[in-house]
Amino acid sequence: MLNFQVEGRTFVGAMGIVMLMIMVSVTFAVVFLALFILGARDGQFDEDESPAVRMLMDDKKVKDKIDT
Amino acid sequence: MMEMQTFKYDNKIVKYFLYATVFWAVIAFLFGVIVATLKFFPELPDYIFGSDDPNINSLFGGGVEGLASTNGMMGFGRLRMIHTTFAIFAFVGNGFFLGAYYSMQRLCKARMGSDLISWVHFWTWQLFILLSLVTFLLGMNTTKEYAEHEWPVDILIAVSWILFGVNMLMTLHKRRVRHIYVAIWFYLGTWTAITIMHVFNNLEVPVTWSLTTMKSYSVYSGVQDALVQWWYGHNAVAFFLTTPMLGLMYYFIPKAANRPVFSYKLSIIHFWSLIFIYMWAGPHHLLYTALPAWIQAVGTGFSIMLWAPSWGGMLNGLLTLRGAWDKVREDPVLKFLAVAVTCYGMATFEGPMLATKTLNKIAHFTDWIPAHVHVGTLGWNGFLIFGVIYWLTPTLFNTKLASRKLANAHFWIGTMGILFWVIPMYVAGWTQGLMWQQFNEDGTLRYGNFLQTVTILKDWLYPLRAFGGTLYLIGSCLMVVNVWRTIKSGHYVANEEVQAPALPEMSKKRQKGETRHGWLERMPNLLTVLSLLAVSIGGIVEIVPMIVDKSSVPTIASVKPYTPLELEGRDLYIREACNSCHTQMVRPFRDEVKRYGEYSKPGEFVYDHPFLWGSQRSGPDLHRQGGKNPDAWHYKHMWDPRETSPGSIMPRYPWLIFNKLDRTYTEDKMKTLAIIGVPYDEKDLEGMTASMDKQAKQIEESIFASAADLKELYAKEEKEKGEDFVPLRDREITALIAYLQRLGTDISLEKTETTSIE
Repeated sequence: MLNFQVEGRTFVGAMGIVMLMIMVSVTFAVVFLALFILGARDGQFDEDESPAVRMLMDDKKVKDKIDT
Repeated sequence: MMEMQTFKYDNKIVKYFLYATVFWAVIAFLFGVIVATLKFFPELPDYIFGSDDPNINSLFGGGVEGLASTNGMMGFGRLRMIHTTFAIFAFVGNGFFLGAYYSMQRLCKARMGSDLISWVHFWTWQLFILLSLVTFLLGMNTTKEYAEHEWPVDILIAVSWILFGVNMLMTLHKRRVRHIYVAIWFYLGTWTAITIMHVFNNLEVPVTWSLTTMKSYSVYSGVQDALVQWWYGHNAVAFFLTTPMLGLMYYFIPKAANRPVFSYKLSIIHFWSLIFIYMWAGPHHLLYTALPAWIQAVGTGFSIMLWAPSWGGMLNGLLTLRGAWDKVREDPVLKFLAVAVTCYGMATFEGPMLATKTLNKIAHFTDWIPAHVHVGTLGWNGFLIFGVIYWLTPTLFNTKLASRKLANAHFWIGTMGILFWVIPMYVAGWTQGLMWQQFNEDGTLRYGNFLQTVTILKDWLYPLRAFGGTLYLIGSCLMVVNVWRTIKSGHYVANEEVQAPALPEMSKKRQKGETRHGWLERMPNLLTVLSLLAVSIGGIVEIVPMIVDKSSVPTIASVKPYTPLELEGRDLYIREACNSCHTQMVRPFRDEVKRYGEYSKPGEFVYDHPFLWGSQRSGPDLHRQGGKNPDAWHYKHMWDPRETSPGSIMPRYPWLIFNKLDRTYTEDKMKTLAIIGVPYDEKDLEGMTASMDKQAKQIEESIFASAADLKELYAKEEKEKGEDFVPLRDREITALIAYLQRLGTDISLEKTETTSIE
């Protein structure tokens, strides 16, 4: 059975693993929060019309050559 | 004017993932049909390999030795995990990679990060699937659902998966489009979450480093193991079967319908709300179990919150088709996609409802859960990937779909398949769940014999499910023909040459900004890798001391570690995957306590590495099995379940009776468990052989005492075989009986005190 220490307190049994899971989940959330903030500052979410249309456009093909 | 750059998309890797997806789809569905058949026709292996029943004419004409010589390769438990691994990781996994490798390049206007990584990723992933097949057939598994792979395979999965992520980040880094389209956010979220889940759920200590006898024990035990497993299990559904599919939805539905997504803003909100809510819903898989009640409540709360983003996203997908419904009537691609999104809506409506205690009480452990899951897998995942395949194959091969008619036939046969699969299973789930709870007026159980609640499902509902699965399989075979003919009629360009303007080096904001900030912004991908690495290393550093530190183990005084023989028996239970059909978790309900005995306490599982609570009761719960039936009954039940329990759907396990118990690793197993906190000491190791012999002898004597026929049989066999004779006490069955008779007996001696939590 694992136990888990946070600031001198020991959590055992189910609580031990819950502490671990909360820490991992919060870290995950924080990483994505950071990505969100970076994304927002980068202007990723400023434009909410054109990306949806732009992805529909086909690429400009240089030539349609056959190989293999 | 910006500089125009010419570059090439890698279509070859996309083509390979297309082939892999189509191939594994058929194989995954085939295994599904086989396991569905075994549920109502448990004698199927006997008919193939041999039986001592004169009514069964086996294919190879052999006796029961023929069946025994398979050593369980056709056992339900083993085939089920092959089916789930193939369906999830081989079919949906390859399908996701197919869509991601195609769309990533187009959305970023860049070739994938590294060709080498693409190919290593492709082949390691296929190798992992093949290795899963082999190891599962041989009985090497960890029992943890959807993560049954033993440690070397786990490492391979991690390597392959991380390479995929690195490849995506490298592609992002050299992208020629500043804006990251929402589909890519879904791919990245998928990758990050699965990496974390996979690592934490598969922390296991190998018993030996031998690759031919892979065996490990989960570092977690009991309640902890259950929590981590269902945290993973839930997120396998959330982040392997949902978010990657949503990414595909946001790319391929607009593409196929040739109109922009209904609301791009909503798609962004969809992504960010899922990311922050999904990970907390796992405990809903453990309602009413030996888990603190507040954790269960948190799980339920987050599950209900998921309604909003799920339905927001579902509507966003469906409304993208607004004004295009005339096309949906004609185009098989859009038909598949529309039904897929509808199934997503149904599954995510049902999920939060099942996460409430009221419905969970009835649904849990019954066929309601597989019905719910298959709306998601057959409907949402399957149909979405079929839609992608039907759109992508002609696009990739510069031609038209070979036969629209055939694709429409696939659509209708597949839809009927889903209906024939799920409707009987909903009925089966309600039937069984409600039957378990029925009391007579005198306070006895209406259906006191568990078997009654199974045989009623066996005659019609289980065969109907297998019929539905067969339809679905037939549909996928039509797809193979169609894809094949399309490929034949077209030509593909391995390296598609295109042009796009280069991305300006700096944006307006950053030109005046500080360097570090600018650097960070230009390297969000590097940042992700670094933070993920930090999380992983941090996590592992935190976990290792916990594993070694075994000072305060919460115990019920009378709960003791398994004896060496019981431990070996438990590993046989794991090998045969008995937990696929039997739970070990008596919930605190009047009917369950009446049926099985005292409800399960968390402290009873402290030495269970891994936990074996199970998730479905096709057979009765076994947590209070110890002492309920005599040893001889277990012997005969394993030999032929229908001899002791007419109508049973359990397979036969004759090899357990023929095989000699392998004691080679018993000592290593005890030493390994001692490392992770099971208090085996020097004395236990020294007395191991003596203890095993003594306990085995007792079981042998008890079997012979109550079954004179067996005593005679073994005496006769000893005379015939002489030197080669293996006494009953040295066979696998004895160890398994030792384990079964131990189950749940530790606390019946005294009045229970629940576990102490500091």
